[in-house]
Amino acid sequence: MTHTVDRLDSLLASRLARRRLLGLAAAGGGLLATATANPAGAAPARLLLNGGPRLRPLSSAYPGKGEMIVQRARPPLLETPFEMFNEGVFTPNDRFYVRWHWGDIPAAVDTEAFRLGISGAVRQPLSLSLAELLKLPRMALAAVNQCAGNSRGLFEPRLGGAQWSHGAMGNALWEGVSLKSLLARAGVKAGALAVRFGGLDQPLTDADPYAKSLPLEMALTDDVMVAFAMNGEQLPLLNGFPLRLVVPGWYSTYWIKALNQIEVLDSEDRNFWTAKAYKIPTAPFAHVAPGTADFPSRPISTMVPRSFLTNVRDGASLPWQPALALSGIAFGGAAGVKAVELSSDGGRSWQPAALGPDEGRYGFRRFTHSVATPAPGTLTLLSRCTASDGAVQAMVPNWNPSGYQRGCVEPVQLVLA
Amino acid sequence: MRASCLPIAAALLMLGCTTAPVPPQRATGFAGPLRATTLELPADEEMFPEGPAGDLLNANCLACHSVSMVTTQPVLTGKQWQANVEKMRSVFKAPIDPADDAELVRALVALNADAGTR
Repeated sequence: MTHTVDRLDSLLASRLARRRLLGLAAAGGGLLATATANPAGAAPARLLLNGGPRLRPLSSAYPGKGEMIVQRARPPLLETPFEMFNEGVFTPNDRFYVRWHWGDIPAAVDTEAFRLGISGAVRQPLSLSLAELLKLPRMALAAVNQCAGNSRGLFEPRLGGAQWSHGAMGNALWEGVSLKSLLARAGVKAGALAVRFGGLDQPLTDADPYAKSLPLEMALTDDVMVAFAMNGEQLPLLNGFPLRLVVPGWYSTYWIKALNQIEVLDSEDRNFWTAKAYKIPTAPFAHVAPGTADFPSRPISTMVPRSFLTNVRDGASLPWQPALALSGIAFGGAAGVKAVELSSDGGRSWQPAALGPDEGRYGFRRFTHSVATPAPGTLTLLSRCTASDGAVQAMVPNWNPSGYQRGCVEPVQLVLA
Repeated sequence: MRASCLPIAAALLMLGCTTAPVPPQRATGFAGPLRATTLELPADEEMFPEGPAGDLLNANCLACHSVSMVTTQPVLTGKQWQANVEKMRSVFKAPIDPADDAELVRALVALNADAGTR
């Protein structure tokens, strides 16, 4: 514990020194040019949450990132501004959301020295350079990456944790090497149960480093990938450069950033992050009565279908017109989008929306529709996605104490005047 | 519904919304190589408010995370904040002295009392 405290003390000392420095600069009327995570004066974003605080700073100061909503300055939690989802079904790398658990995130990656290790219950442990990985047969697919706690700030009753609106998600074209092929090169031994993935980020304390395990049968499915490219470019460091595990259809907790260790396990993973964290109720929709603390649980895994109207914002006022053109994005979770329907009468009747091009079953799919609006007044719109595996968005929100797996129909109320 | 049935403004809006995005070129793929990169995060100089409560929060919270982790939270009860402090200590191994818990929880509740109005 001693070295932990020393590290914390030295970090804190440097922060206090910085504060004194800033105090002096302010006293002398000096202007500090340093980029800051908390820019004063810039207009904040006002998030659609179920209550306050709703205001968040917007910042373009994070490396490789354009304007992002700062949910937490350090370690960074950066949310994608929702209007980005109206621009296309692929989320640009420089607007893709960011979520790190631990304070010690890689400040630099030496691409010559970097190695991806494959160890544990394998016949031939491997240590692969990036140059070697780039020479292997490749795969590419579009997939939504979504935080397990996306939309946590809309839970009722509210709960602690990152207070995301809907922007802790994004869709990218991922390119890399299939995990299955890498495990085959190493040779998984009989009796293996799981595969654990770890990255370059480290805790500032003696807690377990961030790592997650996949059951072996999931790790050996065709679509799981060690990705080195995102939308045709190398990954931004904040999104996991140089390598990121891509687990299509599963929540982002498994998509290990700055991936450098793959360990085949022949016993149950006892690491905190797999054994204790990211658990959801086994009940349908991961729902329990608000306030319930004890319930049968399981590790979160596949995503559920979701849909969002993207060209209108809940609470907006628009000039009345006899018809309203609507556009949005949907994804099926672990399966493709079968259908998206819209309702403007509180769910009594539903009309099918037109679906845009299919970029792959794991990605966002555009939908469009025009609703008749015969008279000015208040209009509540609902969109509902049905996945190709039959899963349908619930009409009512779920609740669980960690604020995971929200997937209900999200009403958008407009005033047409 | 055919677009020609709509008023011009609605039809234009619809066109604007239905413009198909240009998908990345899958055939080409990533040309590489991977270029070494460094990360310099923006300065995070925000501190808790001046005073004994702020000093206690600065000393116990800021080594691992910014002020914003706390100030973005909804209004939470003392019991919920106590659970958070315990989680930071027992799960995330933050060196928080249990003797400081009561004062920390009081400070956190007071700091976020107006969270619903921000």
